[in-house]
Amino acid sequence: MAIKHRNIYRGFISSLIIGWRIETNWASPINVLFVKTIRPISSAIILSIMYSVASRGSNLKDLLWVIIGISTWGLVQSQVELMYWAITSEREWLRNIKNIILSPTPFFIYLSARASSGVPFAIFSFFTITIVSNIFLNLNITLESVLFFEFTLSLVIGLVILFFLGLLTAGITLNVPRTPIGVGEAIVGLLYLISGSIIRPEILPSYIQNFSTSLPLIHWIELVRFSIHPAFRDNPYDWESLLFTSIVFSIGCFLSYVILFKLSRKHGKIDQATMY
Amino acid sequence: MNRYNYKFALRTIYGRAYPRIWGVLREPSWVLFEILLPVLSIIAFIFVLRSFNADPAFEAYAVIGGSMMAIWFNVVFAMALQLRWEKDGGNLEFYISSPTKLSWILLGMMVGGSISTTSYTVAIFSISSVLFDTEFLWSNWYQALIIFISCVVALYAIGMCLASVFLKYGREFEYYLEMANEPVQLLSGSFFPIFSVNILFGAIASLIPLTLGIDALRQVLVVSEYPTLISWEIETVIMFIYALIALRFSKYTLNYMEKSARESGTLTLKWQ
Repeated sequence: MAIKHRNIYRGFISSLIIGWRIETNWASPINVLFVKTIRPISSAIILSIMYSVASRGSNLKDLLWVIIGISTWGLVQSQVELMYWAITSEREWLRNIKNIILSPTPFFIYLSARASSGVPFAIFSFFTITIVSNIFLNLNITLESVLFFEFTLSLVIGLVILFFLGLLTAGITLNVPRTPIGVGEAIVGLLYLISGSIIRPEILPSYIQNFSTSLPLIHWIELVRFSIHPAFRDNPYDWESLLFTSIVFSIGCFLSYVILFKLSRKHGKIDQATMY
Repeated sequence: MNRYNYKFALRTIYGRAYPRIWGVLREPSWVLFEILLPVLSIIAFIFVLRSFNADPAFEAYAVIGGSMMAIWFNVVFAMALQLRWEKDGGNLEFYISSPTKLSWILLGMMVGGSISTTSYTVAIFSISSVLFDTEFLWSNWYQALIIFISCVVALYAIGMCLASVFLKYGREFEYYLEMANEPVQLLSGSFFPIFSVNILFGAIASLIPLTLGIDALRQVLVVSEYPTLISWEIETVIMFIYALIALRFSKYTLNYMEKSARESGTLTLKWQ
């Protein structure tokens, strides 16, 4: 290879900046703040209204379980979405993906930087939904009840898992030029149902339950619940399951990405713009 | 309009509607995603309602509201944003320089889009109803049909107006599309009865025809009593009025766009 020095640090920073600009669509900071604030607040108000008009006395633990699951899932949606949107936008709209792949910055560094540009928004959205729901629904989440070390650790582990899940989705997206957005959304949507964010795994069929518990997402969301509210601390947290599934999942996703990336290059699908 | 123009308009409308109706059959996976994703959203909200120990009637509300959201997304992404996409794809110059009118082209998109989206909505509604064993008053099907048609026409007419706005104000305005999801779910009362929250909130939210359409459909289809303020007949009339005003307004805005594109020559340039 002609290029011996991979441009990782500078490439990451440049990709982060361009990621931010593309993600905010070159809009003014006031517009960005307005749009990014109004979405999570709307979600929280929808949940609060649904609870106030529909609830017939559900218990606090069930309500907390769902609200924390939904707010945590916002991180998944945001991070994974940015990866496949990065590919779709570069391939279809900006027609720049071949240049990015040929540049000295490894493509997965570019993707990770693009996804990192959305991390502040995703975390902001998580806190907004949780805090607004806590105020309107009296969820009884207090600062004293939060285990800050476990919570911070859950955010870090979560972002790592999501990075690798995003890479897997990006690899698949590279190979399906005609359905780039649908595939990504379908993966996130299906995981939403089986990852214990809004549906209790106990009510799923046993084979889906087994699949679901073999993924780190379910353990990660449980850790977030565990760290936020004492109602989920009846039993000690199962760290082994989280770490084991996270490591296996991350390695599996990265290897899949490498294989899928090579396949897409081999079959000439990388810059196959279709105008879907 | 003379006879030649009339036939020409019909040919344009047919030509633009054709790919929206039959084009999807060339990529069946798109149909799958168009149906699967809204169904997943409905499933999610119904499980949330179950965790709230909600009355089963709320599941019926969610099925109706979630199904109608599919139309809204199609209006925003395949109608309002279409001219901007055509501009980026380089087709808008052909549209402007062709002897046809932009309003006919958009009318074709409206006809084709509404037919294909209606089929998706029916599929989403049927799958969700079967999945959750939701009961509806099928004896009122003809009333539901009138409401549904008026809602679809009103929404697509507004989509025609928005197409000019997106084209004119470009990239920065496009950013507001992010608000097409959760805020509209909130304002349209997709997953809860809009007038049960607050009368003033419901009245303001009714400025969006989708809110009226969902509210009216629930009145005629949901088995149990539905809390509302405006009867479905009035809501249907309001939606038709919306449609007429929006179609009239879109004619002016599109003519203005066409004129400015031909005169200044910058409107159709890519990356502007």
